[in-house]
Amino acid sequence: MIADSQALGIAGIGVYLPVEGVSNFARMNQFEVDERFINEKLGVRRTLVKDADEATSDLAVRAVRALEAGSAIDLAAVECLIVVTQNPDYNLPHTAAIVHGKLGLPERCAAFDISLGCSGWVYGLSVINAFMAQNGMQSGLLVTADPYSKIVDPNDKNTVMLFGDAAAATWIHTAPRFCSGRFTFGTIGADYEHLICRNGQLSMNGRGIFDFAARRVPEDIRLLLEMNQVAIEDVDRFLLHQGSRYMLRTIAARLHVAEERAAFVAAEYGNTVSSSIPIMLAEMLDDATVRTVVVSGFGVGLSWSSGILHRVA
Amino acid sequence: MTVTTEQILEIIRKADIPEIDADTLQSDVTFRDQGIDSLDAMSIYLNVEETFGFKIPDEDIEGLNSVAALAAYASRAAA
Repeated sequence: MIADSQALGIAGIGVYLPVEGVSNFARMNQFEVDERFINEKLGVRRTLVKDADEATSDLAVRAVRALEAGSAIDLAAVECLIVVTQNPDYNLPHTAAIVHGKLGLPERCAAFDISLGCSGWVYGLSVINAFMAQNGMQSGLLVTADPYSKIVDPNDKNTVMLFGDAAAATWIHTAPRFCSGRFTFGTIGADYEHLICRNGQLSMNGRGIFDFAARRVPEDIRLLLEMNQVAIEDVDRFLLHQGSRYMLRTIAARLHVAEERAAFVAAEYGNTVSSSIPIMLAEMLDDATVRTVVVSGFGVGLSWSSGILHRVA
Repeated sequence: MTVTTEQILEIIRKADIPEIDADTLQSDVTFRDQGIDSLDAMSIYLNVEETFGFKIPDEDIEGLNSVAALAAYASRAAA
């Protein structure tokens, strides 16, 4: 049976947040910052860190187990699995194959990785919808797991105070709660060095990333709304990648939307890269007052993608 | 082209940068001494760049620590 591509969408989300974390208030002396800077500018009070022996695939599996516990998904019926990560277990094989094995998914299940950072979930949502529709699939998994604790320098204020570990599993099914419209995509490859991992260590040009996000994201969201013929006042929530509180406030100001509609909510876990948007959306799946949602991911690449989600009646 | 400190202050005022009150900013006092941190300064640089259509390279940022310094820089860069 060929699935109706119009009906494919998000049916559930499972989230895995590691228990262990590090308070940024404990780092104030080391990095010469005060409480106000942490609360008002970074927005991140605590970053979560996975166990040293936890592999990326383990985080992914735990997110899928959380999805299983909170939804009607039948793993035996999953036909495709996409893992978004740039911190895989190994250079090869692809992490999706390892996750496939650990979950015991069917042999007829397609499994592949997407190498993207903070734009990865939005890109992945478009890819998995199209892939499933093209191939008549009815049940698929989009998993984001990109633990930056593997590559963050503990002495680098620019990154260690921001990034946290997490994973999210998004179930795509023919009985969805949210369906997506058209997406936008973009790349500025010339600036790839602004956020890069060299010799196993992450470095970030904070100003370069801030300029990129402040310039591109508001104009991209305006384009997205125009493409989808949605008025900005009809958007209930703007789920923006949780780069930092200051970044989100800047984007919200440039979009002329109240900060509450484009909130920074990652205070207790940090910037979880491609998992930041599905973690937020998971909290809204049962909130019927949230009907129209803009999602926008931006970062490594430099790359960005935005999409619009409509609640299915 | 001459860019005045008033023009820079007007750019900051219109930009609606969180936590910066352009009306109380002093042109010849450093941003740091007026409680403007590195993130706020990045917002100021970005809005000046967008207004005049030039890019401030990272290596030039260190000296641009006041409205007056930024006006002088913009006068040269926008010429």
